[in-house]
Amino acid sequence: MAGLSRRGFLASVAALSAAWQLDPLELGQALAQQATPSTALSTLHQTILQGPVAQGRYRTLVAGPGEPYLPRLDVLRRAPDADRARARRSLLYLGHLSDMHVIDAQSPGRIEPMIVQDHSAWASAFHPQDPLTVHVLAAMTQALTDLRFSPLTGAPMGAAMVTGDSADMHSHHELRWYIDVLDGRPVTPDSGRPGVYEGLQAWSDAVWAYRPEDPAGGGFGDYGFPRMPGLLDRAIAGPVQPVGLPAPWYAVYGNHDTLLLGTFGISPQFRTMATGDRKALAWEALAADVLGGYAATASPLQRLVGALDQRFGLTPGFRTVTADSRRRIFEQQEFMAAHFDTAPNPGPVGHGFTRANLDSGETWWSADITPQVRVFGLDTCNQVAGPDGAVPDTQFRWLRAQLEQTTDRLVLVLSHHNSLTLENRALRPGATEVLHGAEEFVDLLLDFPNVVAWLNGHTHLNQILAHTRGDRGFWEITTASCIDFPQQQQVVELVDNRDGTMSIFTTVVDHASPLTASPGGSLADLAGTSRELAANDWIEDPFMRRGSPLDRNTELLLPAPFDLATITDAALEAQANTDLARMVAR
Amino acid sequence: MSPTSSGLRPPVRGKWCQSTTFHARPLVVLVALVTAGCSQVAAVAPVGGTREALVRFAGNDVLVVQGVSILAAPVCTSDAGAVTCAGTTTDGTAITVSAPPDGPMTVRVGDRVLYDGPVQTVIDEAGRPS
Repeated sequence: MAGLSRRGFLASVAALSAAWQLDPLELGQALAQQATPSTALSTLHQTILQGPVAQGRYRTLVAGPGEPYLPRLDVLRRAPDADRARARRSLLYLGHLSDMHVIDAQSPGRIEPMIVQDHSAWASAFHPQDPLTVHVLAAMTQALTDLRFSPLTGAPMGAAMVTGDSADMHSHHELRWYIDVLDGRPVTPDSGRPGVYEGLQAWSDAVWAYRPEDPAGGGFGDYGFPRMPGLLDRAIAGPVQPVGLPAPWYAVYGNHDTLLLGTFGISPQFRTMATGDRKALAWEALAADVLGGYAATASPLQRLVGALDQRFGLTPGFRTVTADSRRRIFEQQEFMAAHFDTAPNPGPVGHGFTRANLDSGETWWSADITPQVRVFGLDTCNQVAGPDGAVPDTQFRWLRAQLEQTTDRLVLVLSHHNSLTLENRALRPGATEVLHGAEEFVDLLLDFPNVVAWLNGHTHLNQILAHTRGDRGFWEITTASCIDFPQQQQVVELVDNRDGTMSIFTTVVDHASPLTASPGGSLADLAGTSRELAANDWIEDPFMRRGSPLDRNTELLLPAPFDLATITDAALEAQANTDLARMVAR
Repeated sequence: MSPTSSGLRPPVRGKWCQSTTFHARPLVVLVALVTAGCSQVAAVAPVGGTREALVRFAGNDVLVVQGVSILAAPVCTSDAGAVTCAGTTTDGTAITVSAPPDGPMTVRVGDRVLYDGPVQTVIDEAGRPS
């Protein structure tokens, strides 16, 4: 098939240079260059492995060999054509991020001391690397920008998908920081009193926490976590200047964007605590205070006692910090609304959410990210309780109706939860909406052969599962997180093999930071420090989360769901030109 | 609908202390879980760290390291802590991975045993330079 004609190419240059206010000559030269696979550093060239013991049980990280793409035949169920690499053409190249868990570690609106009650059960309440999440995400945008051209085909990145758990504890700060980092806007990851770290990791009596100035005396010190003097000061010294994502990005809700710690409803007491000046140091105090707060709703006397406690900090187990109203807890609708305060490039404004979403309150959407690919962004989060999710019947029926009308293009489905975590049917008393679990949802997707992939997250690990029915099926692709080791995300490319099959290539992406944590204060140094700390957060079973080689760099084969020749080379070239022009403008 | 094949596990029953109709009293729940000694505190455990995932990853690690040509990667199910996975090689031989609760993992291709030992050993070795 032929690409754009000379006349078509010139028309494309003229239109795009006008749209992006670019010099037509400069843009024309950029677009005329032959696409060549990116040679930027990726896990195709180098992986990150566990190094030698540095102290106690604490290990450093070392470079390992790169991992080539492993073909997976689970859906195709036969040997692919060995010559397919020569014929292949890119249909879409995109980034996939999930579970970024941006954290305002100084906020009183956190429940870190719960790990003392049961470290294993409450591990997500505290990580030693909590103050460094903005740096990790910024370094991830750098890595994805380095890979803005496909390492396989050289195609420009057309979009990036964000599958939830973006803000860790429902804080406006966290929500704003995550959006700004992905947009490439500067962020100072500090709150409360400017320039002074007021958080558990700076307090010598929080012996159960990792305290970088002197870790001795607690579990992290016993493990061998190192002294890192000045780390907390460097963490809040801003601003961090992220490069941002190189392509339009689209977002869905995660359970942490819905419930407290992704699990519990949010009480008025917690809302007050988040913007107040008392931060819990002991889990007993946290539990008692919250319980007291609830009791106060039933008795005027207790309410008075509770108010005095709140006002004067009478409850032991708390430390006074500087209050910050910007730590306020966001409402469900505000999560969507915040995505409209954004940069037009990479955009899009709303990041998948539309004005109709704001008006209706519906938290799911669809978007044609190219003329050939439609994306459905679902909200699988339970609104009542529990970290896992399900698909509400309203969305289930909406998706079926939409898919019945989408027969002429490829479909990607986004959600936060994956098929192993889609069985939470908790309902409010009296509620009657049916919540669909994984089996029903997978069956629904299997009814539509043009659904080729389901991208999700939630479990903080790399995992790829095949779902098949007869000789058809789709791939479920789960990416890891930015908070737990391996702190990896991925790039995904849909490719037409021009032989009646297509391939989905997945490439795991490490954030752009040094392997060896150094005392420097650069964004990359701090991100690298975070990764090393996460690799030693034993309670999270960090190295399991890398997944197996079948879950990392893969070629996922499947039958073409329709005659892909109906997608012309000219249409793909025009789309690539659009993506390139946007990058040049950026 | 014809039968489907996927990496799904059976629905989890009784995940919450009371029932699947959850009475929303936000942080009271948190406190109740803690103070009542409810065994379902595990519901807030770090996501993803299941034994099923661990066994699946380790089984796949063994298969890839030993150069098994895989047609269908093992699909795993759990029953009371025991994990069983089944897949197929490109020549149609059955792949099985089994791991009883707290027991060693066995990876077989047909009758041939590729690995019989601790799951964590495979994960640790895969995460370190060879």
